[in-house]
Amino acid sequence: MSGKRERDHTFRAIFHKEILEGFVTRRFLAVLVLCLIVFPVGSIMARRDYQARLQNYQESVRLYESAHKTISSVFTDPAKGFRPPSRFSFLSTGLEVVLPDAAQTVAKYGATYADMRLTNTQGTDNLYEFFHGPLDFSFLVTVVMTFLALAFSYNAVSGEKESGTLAQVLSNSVLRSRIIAAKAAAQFLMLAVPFLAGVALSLALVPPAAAPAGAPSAWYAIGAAVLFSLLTIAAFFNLGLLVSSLTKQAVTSIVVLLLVWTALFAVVPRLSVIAARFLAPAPSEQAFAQERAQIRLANEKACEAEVDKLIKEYPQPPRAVMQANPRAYPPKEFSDRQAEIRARFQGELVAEGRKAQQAFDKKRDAQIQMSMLVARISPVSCYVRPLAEIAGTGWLEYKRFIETVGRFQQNLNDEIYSKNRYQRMQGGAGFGFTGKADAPLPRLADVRIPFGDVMRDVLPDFVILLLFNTLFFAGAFVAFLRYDPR
Amino acid sequence: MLKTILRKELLENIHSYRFPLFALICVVLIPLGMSVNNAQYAKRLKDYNEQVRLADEAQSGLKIQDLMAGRVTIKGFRPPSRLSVFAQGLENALPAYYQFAQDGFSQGESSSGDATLTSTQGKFDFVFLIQMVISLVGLLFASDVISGEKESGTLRAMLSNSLPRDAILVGKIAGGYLALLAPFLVALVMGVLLLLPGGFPIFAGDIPARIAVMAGAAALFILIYYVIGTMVSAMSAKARTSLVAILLIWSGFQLVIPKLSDMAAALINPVRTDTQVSLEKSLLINTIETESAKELGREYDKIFTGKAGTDAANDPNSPEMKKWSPIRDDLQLQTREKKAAQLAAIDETFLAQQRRQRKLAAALSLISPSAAFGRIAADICGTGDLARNKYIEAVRSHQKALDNELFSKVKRTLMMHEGGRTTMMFSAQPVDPKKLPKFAVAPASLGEALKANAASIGALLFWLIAPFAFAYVRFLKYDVR
Repeated sequence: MSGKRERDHTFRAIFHKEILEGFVTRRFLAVLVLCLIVFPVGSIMARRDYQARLQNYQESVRLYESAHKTISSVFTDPAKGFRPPSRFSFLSTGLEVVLPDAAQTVAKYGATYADMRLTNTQGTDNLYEFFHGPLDFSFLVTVVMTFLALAFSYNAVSGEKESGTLAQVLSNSVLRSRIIAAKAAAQFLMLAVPFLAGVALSLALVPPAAAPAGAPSAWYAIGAAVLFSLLTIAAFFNLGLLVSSLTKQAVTSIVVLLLVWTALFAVVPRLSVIAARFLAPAPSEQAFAQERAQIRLANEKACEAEVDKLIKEYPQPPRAVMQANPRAYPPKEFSDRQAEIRARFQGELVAEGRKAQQAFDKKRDAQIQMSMLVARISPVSCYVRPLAEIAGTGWLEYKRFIETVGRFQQNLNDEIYSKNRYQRMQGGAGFGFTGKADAPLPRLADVRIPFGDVMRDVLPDFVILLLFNTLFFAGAFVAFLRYDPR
Repeated sequence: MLKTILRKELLENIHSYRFPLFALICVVLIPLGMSVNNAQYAKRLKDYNEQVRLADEAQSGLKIQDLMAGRVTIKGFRPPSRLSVFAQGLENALPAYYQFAQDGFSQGESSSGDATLTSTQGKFDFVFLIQMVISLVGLLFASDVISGEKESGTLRAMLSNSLPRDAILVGKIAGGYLALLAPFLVALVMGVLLLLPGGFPIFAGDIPARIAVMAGAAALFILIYYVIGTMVSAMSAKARTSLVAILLIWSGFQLVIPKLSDMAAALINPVRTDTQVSLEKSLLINTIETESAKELGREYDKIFTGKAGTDAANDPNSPEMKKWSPIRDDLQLQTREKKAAQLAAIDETFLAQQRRQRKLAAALSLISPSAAFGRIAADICGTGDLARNKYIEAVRSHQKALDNELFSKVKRTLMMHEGGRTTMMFSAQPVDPKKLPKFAVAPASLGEALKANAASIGALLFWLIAPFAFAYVRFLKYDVR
């Protein structure tokens, strides 16, 4: 047999042996049954959860639209827009529970400009989901599958060292590289098959909903999620293989792996947030809200002070004059000057507000980016964040909603608030609306992020996961090659 | 005999590589977590004080015209909990403030603020470290306490002596647990000492008692996991098998059951969202006020007709005005009462649904000792369900107080006349904004927290006694042959 054929034959023989050894064990059967239960159950529960959220969203929109058909409705109630739940949130709940789910105008009666306030009641609607965290596909992979990956790999080498069979295998003229490659391939396959079977069953039982018009097919997102999942499971598998190759006893392997897993799953991602706060500090949203409130308060005080001076310049005529000619007060000149004062202060407020918002967004974006960067030390973070983006429940979704709300706000200000007329005069105030009060009320137009943009955003994490796999496997490979069986 | 076994187990654990590793984990992570959360608390407190100051400033500048125009919203802010250093609980999920207006209260944004968008990574507090890290280490320590000795053959040698089996088991558990408890307590004390320079009021009020109860609950939790680990070890012949079983138990208790219980409760007892309820209330208010406005308009038009009517409307002493005032007041009172009754009915239904769901979620989560411990810790630290209930009570009470002291002083009479004309009349009594009630949340006492968590405490005791009993029976019945 030629050298290459012999090597291929050896690889196939070891691969075959590992497969047979693995597939007939109780361990494989247990994993298969676990995946066939856990993924469909998780999928059904996550789908029901999404449907409940969708129903809540649709009901909120219905209730709002039934009471807010025309522009006149916002004279007493704020205008609102709602964010629909992501149809892929069964893949990853991500930030869904904390992302704003509604935006409403904030404006005093008669104001010529409205701010938008983002609200999120999902946190308080699902308080304990916030407390414990969601049970979604992302969680099942990062917890269940990575645990199983460690359970499959922790004694792949150290177990054979302990039992003495490795020394016997190595005493044959078998290339070590073939042994480790065949072991890794076979044992990973024993993990991947139950995982894919579980996913396939859950998709068969709960098929993805049809995509809305213009939206990409759900299979793109599901395909991307499965690919990322396989890479993450492989990373932990290779990590297990590395530790197993470095240790002499299986018990030591599993103890070390569990501690490393806890660090990678639980500690590093959380510490990344803390590190980001020190490395890239940003004011809190509450501090920023206070800053904006102070800007607004100062602007209103200055505006009303100027209006007070104007009112003193144009005192109300005596009662007899008013009775004879009710239109004598306020004079047109007074109204025009007051409108000019208010427009000027409004312009200053909008400009200052925009400047403050941009400065805040810049600092906060920097902090988020820093947190993501530091968190990438853990392969778990390289999976959790991309999956949230693919599911439409991540940071990109937040930014998209902010942009959508910005457009909605502009539309409302153009169609409604800029047409308000409010003036203060001696003895009271007057309100007026120069637009059509019975015109239809503008609605929030929801625009989805293109799938291509999402994939471009998660590409670095994909590359880093590949890198983790390469590093861990390379480490295991080298450790195995250098192992001295004596 | 028991003391000898205890001493032996303790020394064995201390001399193994696990003890310094565990001590390092505790001494680094626990004080770090507490210091970081303390810094977060200081930031939240600063934000809270500033927000209250701004709100008070806005309130003191309250004008009667704003009230008449319905432009007044008063905010009530929730102070951050001092003990959120230990357990963040619901601290970031609860609204930072509620807004009070003539038509009722609505919630502000949640407190998470900047934490919101980085919050997918989860909390990093004392309770998290106990639940996720120390419990796992406890299980690992216990995983080979019996199965390891079975595998190595030393158990047979031990049992061949005249050693009572129960003394062996108790000694092993006690010795192993003490090796875990010591570094944990040292780390906790270090963490608390690190908080002192930052002004942590360790001797204020019932804080010492709460910290002591927290430490006690954490110590109990660690013991529970050690005993569960011992139980698994007693059931397995090999240390490796124990480890895999422990992995599954830990992930089930820690990660799966708490989440499943919340999801199951939401599916079994679905509740409408806060947004839906507030929209429904808004729709109701609009409907009732529109009906009332039309009725007022009709009555007004019957009394004030023509030019004479207009003149009479401007004269508060005219006979028409004397006829109109009681009719107006009566209609407005009926409207107010109708609104209050129907809004209260919506609120009651919503609250009842929420209560049912939360009770079910709490009951289901007792299956996991981790969830039970989490709830106890959150309530002791003032960041749990109890704190949420107290917040809501304070909000309702403050709304009533403001209705009496402020919103009822202004009467807005909206009338819709035949032909579509709308008029609005205002009347207002003087209000001194400085004398308005201040919003305050009365925190739950330690006694209330313990009483509310009786079921969780019971669950923890069950999870201590049942695995111990099981391990005891298995160990006593173990056949060395």
